[in-house]
Amino acid sequence: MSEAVITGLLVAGTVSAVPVLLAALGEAISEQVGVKNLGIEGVMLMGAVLAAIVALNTGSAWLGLAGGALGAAVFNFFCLALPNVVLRAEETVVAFACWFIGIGLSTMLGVSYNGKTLPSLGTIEVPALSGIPYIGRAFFNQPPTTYLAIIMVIATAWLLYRTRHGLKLRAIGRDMEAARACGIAVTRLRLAYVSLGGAIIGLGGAVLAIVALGTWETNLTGFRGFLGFALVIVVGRGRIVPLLVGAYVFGLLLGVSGVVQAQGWNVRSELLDMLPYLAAVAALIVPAWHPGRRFRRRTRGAPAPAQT
Amino acid sequence: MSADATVARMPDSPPGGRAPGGSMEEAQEAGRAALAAGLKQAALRAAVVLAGLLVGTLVIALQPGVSGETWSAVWHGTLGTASGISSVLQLTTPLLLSGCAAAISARAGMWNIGVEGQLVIGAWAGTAIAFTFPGLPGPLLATLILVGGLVGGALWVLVPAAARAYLGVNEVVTTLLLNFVATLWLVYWVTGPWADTSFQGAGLGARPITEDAMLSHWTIGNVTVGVSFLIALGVAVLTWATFRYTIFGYRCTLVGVDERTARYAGVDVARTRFQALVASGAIGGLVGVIVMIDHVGRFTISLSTYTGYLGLLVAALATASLLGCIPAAVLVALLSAAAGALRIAGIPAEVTLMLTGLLLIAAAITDISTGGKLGRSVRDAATGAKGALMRSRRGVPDE
Repeated sequence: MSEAVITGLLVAGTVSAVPVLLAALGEAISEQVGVKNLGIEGVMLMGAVLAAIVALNTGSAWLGLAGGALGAAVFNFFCLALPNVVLRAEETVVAFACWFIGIGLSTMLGVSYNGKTLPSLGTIEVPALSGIPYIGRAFFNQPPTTYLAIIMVIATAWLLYRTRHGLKLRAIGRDMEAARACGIAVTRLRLAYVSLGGAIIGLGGAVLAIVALGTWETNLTGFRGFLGFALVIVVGRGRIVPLLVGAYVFGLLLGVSGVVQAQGWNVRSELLDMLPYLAAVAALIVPAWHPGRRFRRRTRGAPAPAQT
Repeated sequence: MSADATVARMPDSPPGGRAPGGSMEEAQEAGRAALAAGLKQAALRAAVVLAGLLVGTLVIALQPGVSGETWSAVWHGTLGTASGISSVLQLTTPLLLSGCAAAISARAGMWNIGVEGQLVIGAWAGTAIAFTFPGLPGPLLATLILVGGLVGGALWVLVPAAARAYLGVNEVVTTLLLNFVATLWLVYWVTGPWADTSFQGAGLGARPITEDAMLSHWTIGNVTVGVSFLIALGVAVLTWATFRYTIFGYRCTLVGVDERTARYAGVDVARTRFQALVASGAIGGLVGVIVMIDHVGRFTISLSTYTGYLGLLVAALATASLLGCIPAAVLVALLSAAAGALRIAGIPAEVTLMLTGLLLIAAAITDISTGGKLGRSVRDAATGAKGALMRSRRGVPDE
């Protein structure tokens, strides 16, 4: 393989990885306070469509990102956090409801914005490092959102494992009743952090629309949110920094098809597009193999098993 | 509303009239109480469904391009005319099957979210059979295609089912992710090996399958009913009977109620889970072929308009009662038909999905106010009914 192909794949990997990474990060935060956000795909779609609408009407990509994240947080609050945390409805049913509403609402809102080119963010070039062959362009000449996403991952890990506030959050995930008995405002914190998770997931959708694809189209997420959800399970609950590696692997697999097409190789893109999803299924199943001497996932601060 | 769900409200009372151990008055008393509770829950469910519909209607009414004519079009497209009723019945068929598939896995305590993928692979298998044996007589070919659908759906769920049953891998995520793989598989076949460049319908399509293999329709008055509708009703009744009268159904319910109890009773939990998911997947595969040989006539992207996911709503509205799926499927079919009429006013088809979501939330919340989450109400229904039945058979007095 030539240098151009490898560079192209690494760049495509980074671009595709960031939305998945943000979705996974939002979901990981949500799981820390004991809410599985399987509605992730709908929240991402809302983030994407609102980002597109705000960006096109104001002409600013940054305002678009902010609008997408904020709108997604509000959406997530009403469709997922409230029914889950306050009304204690069935998690899976509410999650799918959230997904469906997300698809329907985003399609309706986005009808007149379909396929329009969105304002771009440009890239930030890290001097010297961006000249490194192969990895220079992929890691050191990226849109600001890529660096922002990495900083957010590290900040989240720091918040959860190095602060008193993070200790409270992990306590809620471990045992809600014990946390309540310790005087932690459980319901308020859960609502707040499920919504924050929603904002980050929505930011993932916004980045997908504005940075990765440069346009809004109906249902543009294509199960990337669910990939993020699977990533959180694969990496292990409560582990934040390893999400970076996992998301990049999924990003590379998502990028393969585009690179192959650009090279004009005669492989059907539909078959290549299956790769990340098949890989995710395999990554979920294979570690569970061999019940006798099975590979145990390390789990930090995992929530207690659901009490039914 | 199912009789099972009624009993969930009072797990300690035997179902009305079925208590040889208790006195006549007690049985009647319990029956009356159960009926009252059932009516209460039905009323609440109806009220919340109406509220959900109202919110959805308001959102649509606020869209530009919606006028009085739009709403009259909706009326004509659903119940107002014979052709409207025909299309509602046509839409009910796949929704009922898909609801049954979801309900089977829900009864066994699992979620088969993969019906969407199973229906695609089922239809793919059916099409492959139709292309391989084009010379067979129509009814035989149709039967083979239906069997192909069942097998295709079952095979597609095989890996997630085995992983769930024997390795404990969450079936929600695996079945869900495979849906997207199935969709890509469909796109590959309809744009590649089976492509039909002359196809003018919505989306991409494969070459049509032979006309002989299509299921027939009857016209009663001006309303058209297909054989497919009867097949769907038959499947619903059959699965209901399976859960009501067979050992396999009882094992599934027991596993869904409480895994440890089932294990203690000597049930092979893993095997039961595996069988339940595969059965659910097989019916999921049937959805695809039924739609194909009922009216679509070819393997195409428009075989499913989120049918596999709408099955979740059907099952949730029916609280996983198999017979309850029938009215629930009709309700969701009405919604879909209405969305079809709204499309003319420029409202995208995805609007049904939004309404679905609102109704799902409504269903999930009502289950709370009537004493439990969906999963729990299903479980309690099973324990309540079975427990009371067993006690009454053995003549054990209620505590």
